[in-house]
Amino acid sequence: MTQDKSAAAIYGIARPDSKLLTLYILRSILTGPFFPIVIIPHLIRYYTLRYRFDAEGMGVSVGLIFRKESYITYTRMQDIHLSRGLLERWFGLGTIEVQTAAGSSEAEIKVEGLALYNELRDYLYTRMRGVHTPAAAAKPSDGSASVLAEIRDELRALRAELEKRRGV
Amino acid sequence: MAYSALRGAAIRLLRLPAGPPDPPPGGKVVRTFNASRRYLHYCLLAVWIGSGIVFAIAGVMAVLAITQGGGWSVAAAVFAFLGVVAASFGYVATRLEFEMRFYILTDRSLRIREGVFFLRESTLTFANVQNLRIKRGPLQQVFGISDVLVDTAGGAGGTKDVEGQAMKQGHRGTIMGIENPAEIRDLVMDLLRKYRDAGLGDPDDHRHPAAPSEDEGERLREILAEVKALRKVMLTN
Repeated sequence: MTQDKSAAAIYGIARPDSKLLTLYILRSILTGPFFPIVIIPHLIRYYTLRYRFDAEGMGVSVGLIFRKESYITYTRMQDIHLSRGLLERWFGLGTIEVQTAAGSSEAEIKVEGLALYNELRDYLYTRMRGVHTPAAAAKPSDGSASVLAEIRDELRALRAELEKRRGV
Repeated sequence: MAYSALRGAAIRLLRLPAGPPDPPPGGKVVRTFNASRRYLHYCLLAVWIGSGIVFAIAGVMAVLAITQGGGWSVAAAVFAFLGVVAASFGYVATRLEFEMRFYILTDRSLRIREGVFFLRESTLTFANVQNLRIKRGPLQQVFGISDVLVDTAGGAGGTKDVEGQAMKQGHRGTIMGIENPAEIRDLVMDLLRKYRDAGLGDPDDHRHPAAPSEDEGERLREILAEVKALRKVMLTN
């Protein structure tokens, strides 16, 4: 139940927290004279960032002129990194980076501006490879034996009917 | 002590979390540990050398001020001040870095927290671990500490030297500055082996196909007999 609830909260994450915009602006201001140059890509990034979490994997898309979309499945995650810079900590945000076994050392997926960073990390962790032992060899469903019995009974009835008609 | 006051102020100002990070959910915590105290001294060495150089420059300038006079005395004072700032700031930052470094081993995963200004927590499951290494430089040897590198698949990006940037990269957890690297390595190895044997828990891992139950086999044989009898009935006539 709690698992479902947390999953629902995670699936609901579609956009970064609005505090990320403030953080971007502050970060751009800190670059001083470069502010007008730095702020533009940041604004584009903030307004185009989209997250998607579903039962199988997660995706991030970003960009206006140069679009980038990535999607990875949870089982292919190699490691999860939660990083929180000083400004992020002041704003109560966190960034989660996820890596797959692909060659680059850069994170394949970066989820920025998260208020629910702890919840997301815990959720991702539970979906990671090697966290669960396999559900002890899926038992044959109890239904199949009774279905077989029904087929048998049906065939018996069919034969009985045939024998009666043909007067065997 | 001055340090504890500075530490308290730094923790409040930097919004540092108190205590170790939460262990990953589920799973049993096998061990929580920190870097060795010697690691602190090892890191502080750089601070002492750095501020020592600044003090030496200040000293040279003081000598010049005595011999030649003039503006040298101001420069000497400035450098001496810089040296004090570098030493105290470096000391607090390094010691905080040491105190904020945590390693958590659970039966399935490793979590490493590091950083003061930029906080980073890495989590990796043993199912993904490819290789374990112990690294020890000459200076680390003097201090009697080592790093244990836990690599996951993917490599750390080709041409880059992993030496200094190891912890900033993915695909690796670096347990830095411990005195008992072999013990930790063996502990991780043990956990690794245990969960390799038990199955990795992949959703696509179907190594134990479900055997048909006794009951099902019996029903199937009965159906076969019934179908045969049915055919016989249809063929007579």
